[in-house]
Amino acid sequence: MTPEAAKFDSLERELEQSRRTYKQLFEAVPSHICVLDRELRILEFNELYRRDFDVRPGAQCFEACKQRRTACPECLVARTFQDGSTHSSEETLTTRDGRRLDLVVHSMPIRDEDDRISAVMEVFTDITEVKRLQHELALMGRAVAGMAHRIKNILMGLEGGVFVANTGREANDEETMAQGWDMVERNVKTISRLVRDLLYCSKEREPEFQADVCLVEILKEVCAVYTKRTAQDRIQLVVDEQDTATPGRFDPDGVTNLVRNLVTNAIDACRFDPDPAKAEHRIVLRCRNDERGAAVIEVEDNGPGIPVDIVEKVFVDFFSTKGTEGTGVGLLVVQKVAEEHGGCVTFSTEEGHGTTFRVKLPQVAANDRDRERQR
Amino acid sequence: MPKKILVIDDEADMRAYLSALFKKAGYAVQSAPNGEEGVALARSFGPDLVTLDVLMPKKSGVRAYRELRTAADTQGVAIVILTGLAKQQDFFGEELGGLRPPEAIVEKPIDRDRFLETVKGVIGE
Repeated sequence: MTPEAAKFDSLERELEQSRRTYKQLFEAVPSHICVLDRELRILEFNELYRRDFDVRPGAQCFEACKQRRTACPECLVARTFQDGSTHSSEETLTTRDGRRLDLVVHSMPIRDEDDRISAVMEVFTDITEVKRLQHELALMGRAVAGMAHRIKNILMGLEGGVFVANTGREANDEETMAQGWDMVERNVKTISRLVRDLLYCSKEREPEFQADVCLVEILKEVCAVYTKRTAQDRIQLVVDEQDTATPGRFDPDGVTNLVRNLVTNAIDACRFDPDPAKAEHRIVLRCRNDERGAAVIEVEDNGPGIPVDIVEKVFVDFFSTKGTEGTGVGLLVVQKVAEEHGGCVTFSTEEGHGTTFRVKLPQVAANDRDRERQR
Repeated sequence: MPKKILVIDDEADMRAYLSALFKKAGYAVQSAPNGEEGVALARSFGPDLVTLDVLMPKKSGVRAYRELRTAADTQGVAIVILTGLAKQQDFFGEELGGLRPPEAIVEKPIDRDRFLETVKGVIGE
């Protein structure tokens, strides 16, 4: 081999090595990458892009990524071809297996030896997790604001109680003084219930499962607590004792709290029903076993129902600020207790006609969980 | 003759608190637990000012407001809206459909001294 040929051979090997290195980088980078021509046809793409999008030979990027038939109105690639600059935007794309990805997309020019733009590279950075955290943070902010508002209302009740008590004391009016102390007492109870509910929602409390817990007895106990008060508001509160769930292994304190919160929510809903045609409201509590043996607790009311625009936010904007019975975190408690039992909460509602909340408590899952804890 | 204030609020604590507050300030006070009784009481009691909660059972503050503002014997009464929700403030601020706007809108929870100042300013004392 001549020295020139050997040098040529060595250069070729170096070139091949360099190409392999770049190819490996291109494939291994944890971003979706594709290279496009002026017609937006995909010339090259990496492994991640191939895995998540439906790339066929000669496909255009909008077909592969967005299942569109025409180019996107704001095409970053076209802009990069036009002005030679890097552009970026945020996009939400659906992968071939149905996952939704939030992505930051950058388009960058690739130039040939004459410095002309021969292709444009698109790099997609996955920010789905960041977006999820942002969303959760925003929800937490709203929850904290709601809680602060609720606490401020309770404080105003306390302040009012002290004011009324003092007014009574100054005027030697025992009745007014007693009224003030009643207000203080009521608001202290409210804040105690709020703290108890918040503790239920935190991880500080471990559920205490017991054998042979009779759910219908819990329904009757909760019903007895509220019957007198609901009667004053012409709300009939009853337990349907037909086909009740068989006794099982549940956390009785948790379930009592769960039922109490569903009932107080239903009472508030009925109390604030703007429909003057309903002479009397009715709340029915029942528990039964579903076809798989799981216990299902239902609280059904014929109140105003949940407005369509609120339905999607029921488990999100959980912190209500109005209502005389609930603490404002009721549904969060309900969800927490249900999850502790390996169950779930659902509801059906019809505006103007009422709402039914259903809590499924599968005993098997609870038992497993219990054994796990005992170990 | 002391000026007369009617408190319409479904929360018993709020009624008791505001009643005590206004009585101590020298006003004659009556209260009602919902819009329905509140509107009826406004006619018989003849208040100079009504403090009106918004979200109430039986008859909401919005409906009570319309009735008070449109009935001949109550349309001149000053109304102070008490609300905990910004959305309701928007309603009373912008969407009144030709009705005279409320004399004041106060957000709950109230600041006692500032609230009393507002009421005094509205009622003219």
